[in-house]
Amino acid sequence: MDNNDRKLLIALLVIFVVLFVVLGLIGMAVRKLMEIQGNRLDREMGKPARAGVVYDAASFKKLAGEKNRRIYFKESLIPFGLAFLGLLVFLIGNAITKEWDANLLGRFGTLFYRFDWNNPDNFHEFFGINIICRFPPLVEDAHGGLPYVDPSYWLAYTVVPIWGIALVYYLVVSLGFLSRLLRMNKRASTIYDHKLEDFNYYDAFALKGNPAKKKEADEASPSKE
Amino acid sequence: MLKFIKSFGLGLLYMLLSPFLLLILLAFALYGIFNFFLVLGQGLVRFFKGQPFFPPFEEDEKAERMLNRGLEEKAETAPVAGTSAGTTNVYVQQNIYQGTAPTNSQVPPLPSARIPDIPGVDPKVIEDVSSKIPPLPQEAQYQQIEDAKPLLSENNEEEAIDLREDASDGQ
Repeated sequence: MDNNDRKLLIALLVIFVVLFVVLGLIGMAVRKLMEIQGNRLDREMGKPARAGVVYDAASFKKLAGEKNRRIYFKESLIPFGLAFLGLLVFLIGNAITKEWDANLLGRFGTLFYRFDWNNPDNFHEFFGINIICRFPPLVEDAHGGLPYVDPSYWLAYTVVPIWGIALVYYLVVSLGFLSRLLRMNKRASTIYDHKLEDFNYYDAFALKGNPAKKKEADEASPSKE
Repeated sequence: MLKFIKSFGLGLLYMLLSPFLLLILLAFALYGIFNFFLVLGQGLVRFFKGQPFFPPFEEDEKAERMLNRGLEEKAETAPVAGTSAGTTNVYVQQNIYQGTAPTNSQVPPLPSARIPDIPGVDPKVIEDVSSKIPPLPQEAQYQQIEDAKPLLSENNEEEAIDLREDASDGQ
């Protein structure tokens, strides 16, 4: 291993560490979001649960599920609206340009650097598996893989961001639904819990005001005195 | 440093689990599309029947009524200083002097009642009204005022049971 390889290895290691840390931070943000959405279900179910209107796990789940579905619908209105708007723009735009089979994602990609991922020189066979072994170079096209704006691609520049935002928004909303669902199941099992784990008949109320039973219990277990 | 290592570890974990988590999320997203059109259809049917798109939940209304009633009961039972009309206080006589009762001179003086600050009402008016109320006998002044009833009183629990029965009958 020469000096260059060592440097490359260190650079790769740093990149991976940074990548994992960033992923970890994203995961923590997702968990925070899930907690906030779970608290929303608590707020929604607070009054019925405290007043005793929902009196067992089944009735709690029924009402909470219904409310959760309603919240999901309301929150989905924005991403669905955006997607519908994108569809309208797509239909009207294509009716004008007559380019129904255009590659919208490819055209949108002209706004970014374009790398030649499919170049077989980038890969190396390792135990029979093709593994990428170097960062791909820029594609060799008229613009040399550099970003550029083509005014005739206006439809792709408009529709793709709209659909992208709608998709991400909808996934966040779906995550919220999932979080509330998990919180609902958790609360349903804890609020109406009948566990007798820390309960002891003799320690609680059974002996109060019943000397006969107390005497009987004392005789049965003299070590308790 | 510990936080950094924690983030790194979590990142590694999420990297490994991300395909499965995304798959679960996508399944819920697909269900969401179905749910969207189902709730939309139900809402539209209600809307064209002249009902609200999202009618309030029956359970919420019942809970609201019960909790409001509980608060009203609590407000009614709470003693208000300086007023007498409309309130019924229950005085529980405590047997403080078990043995020889002290003479009046041995009884420590009671703290004077504080006139509450009610916005928009002249304190002098309250003072006048309270001066017209005859003083309680000495024994009754040593009293234990019954605490305000808890939010869910026995009556409310009975009512909750009634409501549950009503709901089960309705189904």
